[in-house]
Amino acid sequence: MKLSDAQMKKLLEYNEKPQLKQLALNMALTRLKKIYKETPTPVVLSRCTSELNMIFEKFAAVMKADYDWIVSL
Amino acid sequence: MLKTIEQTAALIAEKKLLHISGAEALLRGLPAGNWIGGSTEYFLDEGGGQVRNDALDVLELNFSEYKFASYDAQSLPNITKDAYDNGFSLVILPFDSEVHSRYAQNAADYEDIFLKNIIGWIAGINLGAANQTPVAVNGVLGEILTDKAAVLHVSLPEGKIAQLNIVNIFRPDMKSPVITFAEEGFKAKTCFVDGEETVFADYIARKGLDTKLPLVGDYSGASINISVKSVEGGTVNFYAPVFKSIEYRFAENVPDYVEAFRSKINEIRNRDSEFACNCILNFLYGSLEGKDIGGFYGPITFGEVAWQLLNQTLVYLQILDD
Repeated sequence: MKLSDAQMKKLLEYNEKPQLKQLALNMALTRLKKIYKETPTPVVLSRCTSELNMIFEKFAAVMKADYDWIVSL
Repeated sequence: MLKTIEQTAALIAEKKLLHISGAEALLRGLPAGNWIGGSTEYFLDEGGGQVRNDALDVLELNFSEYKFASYDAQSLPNITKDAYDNGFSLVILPFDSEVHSRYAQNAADYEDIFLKNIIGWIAGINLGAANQTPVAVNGVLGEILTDKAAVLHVSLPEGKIAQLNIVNIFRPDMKSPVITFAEEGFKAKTCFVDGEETVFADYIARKGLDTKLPLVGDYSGASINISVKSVEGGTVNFYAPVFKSIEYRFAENVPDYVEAFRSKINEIRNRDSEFACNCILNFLYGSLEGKDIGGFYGPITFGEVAWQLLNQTLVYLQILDD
C-alpha cells in the first residue's frame, strides 16, 4: 500500500467529505492538508505522501479499505 | 471494576499492572507500585453512571513490557518519541494545567503522533466538592502530579496491534452555518459565521443556541467536538482549543443521550475494549447517573485523548490480531 505524489495531491485537494474509516487518518490528513495549503510545493507534497505512506505501512492490517478508497479518487 | 482502597492496595502489592481512577484523596492513600492513575469521582459501569468517593475504578492490564514516565510542559512532545513502536501510550493530564493546554494545542504536530497510539484522559474533580485538585499519578514513583502528565507506555507482542476509536453521539447540524476562527485557543471573542466576522457570544445569544451542544469540527470527514465551557463578559470559553484551519458547526440536538450511546455502541461488532473513558459533560447533560449505555465502561473524564484532545466523546482502546 503506497500512494504516489499524484494520488496524494488528489487527496489533499479533495473537497468532498473523505470516506475514511480510521480516525488517525482523518486527523493526519487534516494536518497534512493544512501544511500543504500553506506551502503547496512538490517538496511539501512529497513529505505529505511519505508521512501518509508510513501510516499505511505500519497499520496495513486495518487501513486497506481507506487505502482502496484513496486510490479510487 | 470499582474496588475499595484495600482491594486496590492488595492488587498493587501483587505487582499487577493497573490503571486506577478515583477520588484524589484515595489516590493519595495508595502505595507505590505498577500503576498509573488520575482523579475523578465519576464512573460508568454495568450499573450505570455513578458518583463515588469511596471506591476506585481499577483496570488490570495484562502486558509484560511497559514503562512509566512523567512529562512536564517542556518534555511533553517526547511522549511520541518514548512510545513503543508497536503498542500504545495511556496518558493522564490534570485538568486546567499547563500540560493540559499545551497538549491540546500542539499534540497534532508531535513527531510521528499518528504512527503511535496515544489514548488517555484529563483528570478532574468532584464538581460539587470544595478544595480538590485534579491530579495524575505516576504510581511507580509515587508521584502525585498537578502540573505533569503521567504516562504508561505499553509494548505489544508480535501479532498484536492497538486500535483507538471513538463514539461520538453528536453530528454537525448541516442546516446551521459554518463557524471558523481567526485565533486559536481555549477562548474566542470573535468568529466567522459563513465568512462574516461576528462577536461569537452575541451570535450565540442572538440565535438562542444551546451551549450544551458542542461545536463539531470537520477533521477530513471525522467529527471532533469542542465543548463550550462558559460565555462570560463577551468571551466564549471552551474545554479544548479551536483551530484556525478547522470548520465547525454546532451539533444537532440529541434528545436522549442514553439511547444515542446504546444505538451507536450496538453498531460496533467487537465491543471488547482494553480501556475506555467517557466525558463528564455527557454524564451531566445526558443524566447518565444510574443508566447503562451498553458498554465501554470506565472513568468519566474532563477531556478525552485519542491522539488529540477531544470533548464530549467516548474513547476506547482495543487490542487486535495483526
